[in-house]
Amino acid sequence: MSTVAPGARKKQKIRPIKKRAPDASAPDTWTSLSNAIQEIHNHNASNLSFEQNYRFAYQMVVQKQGDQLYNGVNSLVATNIDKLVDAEVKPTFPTTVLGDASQKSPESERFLKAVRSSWDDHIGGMTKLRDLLKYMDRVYVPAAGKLLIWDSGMKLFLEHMLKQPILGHIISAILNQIEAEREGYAINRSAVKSCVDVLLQLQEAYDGPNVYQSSVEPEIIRSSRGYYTREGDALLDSCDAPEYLKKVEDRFASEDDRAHHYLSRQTATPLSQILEETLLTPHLTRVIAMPNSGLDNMLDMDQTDNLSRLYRLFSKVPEGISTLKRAMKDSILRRGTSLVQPTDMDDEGNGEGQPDAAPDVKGKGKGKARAAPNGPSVASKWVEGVLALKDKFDDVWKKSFSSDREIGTACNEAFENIINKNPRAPEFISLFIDENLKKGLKGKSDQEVDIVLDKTICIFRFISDKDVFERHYKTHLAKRLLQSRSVSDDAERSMLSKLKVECGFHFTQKLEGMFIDMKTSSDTMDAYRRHLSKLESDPEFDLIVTIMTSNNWPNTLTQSPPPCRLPESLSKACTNFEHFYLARHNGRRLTWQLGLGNADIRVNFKSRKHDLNVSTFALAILLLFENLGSDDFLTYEELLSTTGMEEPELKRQLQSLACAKFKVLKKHPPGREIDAGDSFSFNNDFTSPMQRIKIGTVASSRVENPDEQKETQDRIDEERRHQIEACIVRIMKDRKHMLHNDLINEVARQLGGRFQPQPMSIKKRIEHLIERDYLERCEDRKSYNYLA
Amino acid sequence: MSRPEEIQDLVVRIQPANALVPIDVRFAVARQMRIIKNMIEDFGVLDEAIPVPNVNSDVFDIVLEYCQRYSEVEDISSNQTTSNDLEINDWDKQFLLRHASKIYTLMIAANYLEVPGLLDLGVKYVVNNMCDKTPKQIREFFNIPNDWEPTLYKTIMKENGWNEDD
Repeated sequence: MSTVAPGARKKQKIRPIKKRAPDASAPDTWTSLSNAIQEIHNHNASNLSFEQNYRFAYQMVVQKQGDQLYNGVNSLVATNIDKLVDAEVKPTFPTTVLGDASQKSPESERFLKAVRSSWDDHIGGMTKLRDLLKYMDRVYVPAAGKLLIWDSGMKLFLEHMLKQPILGHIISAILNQIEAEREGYAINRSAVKSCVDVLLQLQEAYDGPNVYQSSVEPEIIRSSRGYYTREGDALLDSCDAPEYLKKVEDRFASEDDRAHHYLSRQTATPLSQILEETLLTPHLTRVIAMPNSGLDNMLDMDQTDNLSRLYRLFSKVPEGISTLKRAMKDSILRRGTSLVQPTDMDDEGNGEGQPDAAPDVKGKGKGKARAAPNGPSVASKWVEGVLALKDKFDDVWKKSFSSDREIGTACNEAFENIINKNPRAPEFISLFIDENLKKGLKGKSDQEVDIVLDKTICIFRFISDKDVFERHYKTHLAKRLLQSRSVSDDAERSMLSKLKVECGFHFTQKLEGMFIDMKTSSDTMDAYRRHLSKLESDPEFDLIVTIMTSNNWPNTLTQSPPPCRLPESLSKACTNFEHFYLARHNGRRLTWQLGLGNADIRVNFKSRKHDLNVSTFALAILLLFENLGSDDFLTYEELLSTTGMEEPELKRQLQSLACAKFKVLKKHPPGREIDAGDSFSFNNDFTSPMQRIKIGTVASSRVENPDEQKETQDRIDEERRHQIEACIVRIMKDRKHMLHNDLINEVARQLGGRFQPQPMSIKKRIEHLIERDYLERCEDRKSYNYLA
Repeated sequence: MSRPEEIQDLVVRIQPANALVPIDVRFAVARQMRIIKNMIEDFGVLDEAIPVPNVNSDVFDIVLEYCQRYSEVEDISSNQTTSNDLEINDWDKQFLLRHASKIYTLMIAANYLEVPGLLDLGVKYVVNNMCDKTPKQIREFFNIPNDWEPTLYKTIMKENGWNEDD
């Protein structure tokens, strides 16, 4: 070493490294170290000096004996694992071959626990070794391109422990435990979980799947599939539908639970898929259609929970919802069609209620006060039945099927089907509304009224022949208005506005016209009364006239009014009014509709006076008896000639006066039928507890008999023909030229809101129009031109 | 369990080679040496001294000096010369000049005791002093004997002598 000159700030010479001899020879170092490692494996680490062994390892690496160190440690670890296998694991190999899952379970559990404890042992040792060999890990391992000691330990465990046959035993032990739990036995979940954790941490190749994924999971899936296929069949045979569903749901929950608790979370999806494929998909139709417990029964008994469960489970598989849809549709259709034919068990004695039964106008021989087979209650019953059905299914849909859209659509289709299957549906619905507006809504609050009307509109939407409904509704409304039978004006208007919302304003134009007429009439009457009071003439009676604009009111009511000769007092009053009115409105023509009117008349009987409400015709008849005594009588012929009424009408009126409940006239001879030779006298002895009596004419709003039906249908058809033609002309005028198919489609589309036109009838109309030179056929015979 | 502030004052006993008595070191200083730190964390402070027979006491003192300095500095990682550039801060420069003769043993000790700052410091020193030197100069500076066999050396010099101004 050179010395430093005093005062000179020269760098010192660096002392060279002394080549120090190692403290001990290499083999000795290794021996000590390997002894120490073995002590660690024997759980005797507390006696060792950490520092010393650390130093040994350090020295070996520094003295380029890293290889020896590394390989030595690895072989020691491997030996240790083998020892563990022999000591702990092999003794607990499950030996029971036969027996069910529960019998094998304790052995499996012990085995899995043994595997786990070997692992714990190994890890404990590896942790200590890792600390000890840190220097080697830091310096030697990267240089030599080997695995860190920890990773190497993992690999060794994999090779020595998790190989066949041990791995096979592990797998079968796990499967066994799973099966035991599935059968309902309690198992030690943590034993399985701890073993699965080990498998999850080890992998064969870097970045490859871990042992669980590659070896265990496929087995679990395979065995689960087999297990559940068998179970599906077994359950179907032994359970009814709700039980089956409950069990399936339980299985879903338990498998999910299992995957989360002691298998790997990733197994949850394949397991639930297996459940879907084995328990649900193949058995969908069988479960739904199970007799005495399937879908229909659940619906009948309002088993909301079971239905919800059904829905929940079925929505897991794609075919589930479509199966459910079909079943619901079938159910609705079945129930709906049974409504149209009410059964014999009808307690009102409505019997078959067949629409084609002969109308029993003349007598209700059954002695019950209820309606005859054609009475309005058939209609109401049907509509109420449909409404109840719809309510029920809506309820189920909302509560159990969580308002699923597809199912909702299917149900609506089914309802549409039912409603349109009944050819008299439009008429029935109109009658239902009629009943309600006349009596049914009495005493209900506004809200309740609204609800009933809304529900009716709901049903109305399903009708495809809306024009038939319009026709009936018009007739019924007219009768209601004219006879002031409406329970509430508000309700009427509310119904009208709802119809307007549904169908557009031209649908309700004429209906509104009727309302306006009524209002105008009452204004006119006020003016007339003022006019009369000015004239100071004291009329014998109060005349109230309702003026109907003929366009608005149904033709059936107003065409060809039956003739009647009124007594002089009446006809004078009528003429007065006519003059008054025509003076106000020039250029109008009034036609008296005597058949639609009624009169209040006070009649003196022997016991007391009664106020009778009778039709105008009946009034004409009664007035003839006005000055006659009780012994005087008029014959049928006399009545016929004096009143000038037509025979059927006269007979009808006489029936209501003499043969019905309130016999104001006496018929000689008494009986139900009016014959030509009968004579009538005033019945002075008539009594009744009520002061005011309404003597209705025998026919009130009822379901049409077949003749009337045919008539209505003819009218409908005719109107439809006109509609179709008008529509065709409109379209052709717009487009000038169109293909045949396009024209048919366009017509169907435009008229669809009112009714469904048949392609055949459209074709006929087209040909008709061609004959009348509105259209012409083109050369290619497929399209048409518009002729102005 | 002592509070965090007190732990810095805990006294750790370390016994380097040829030390007659163990040296008491405050934990704040001792934990610079990672090997000590890990041991304390795993096993706690024991009454027995931690033996470090690889390290002589004089070298150990130098290491202690370094650790002492950096236990007082608050932000350890930023001031120590551990960054990748070849900058050496002033205190470190002075430190090195003082102990330059023992640079090798110092580095070995730093490696064993795992004092990263000191190890890096030594490495930088060596690197800085190797730059722009011929092999002969390097040999002279680091006191490395020329152990080439003479005839072989001559052959090599003939072939590659263009960068040697011998």
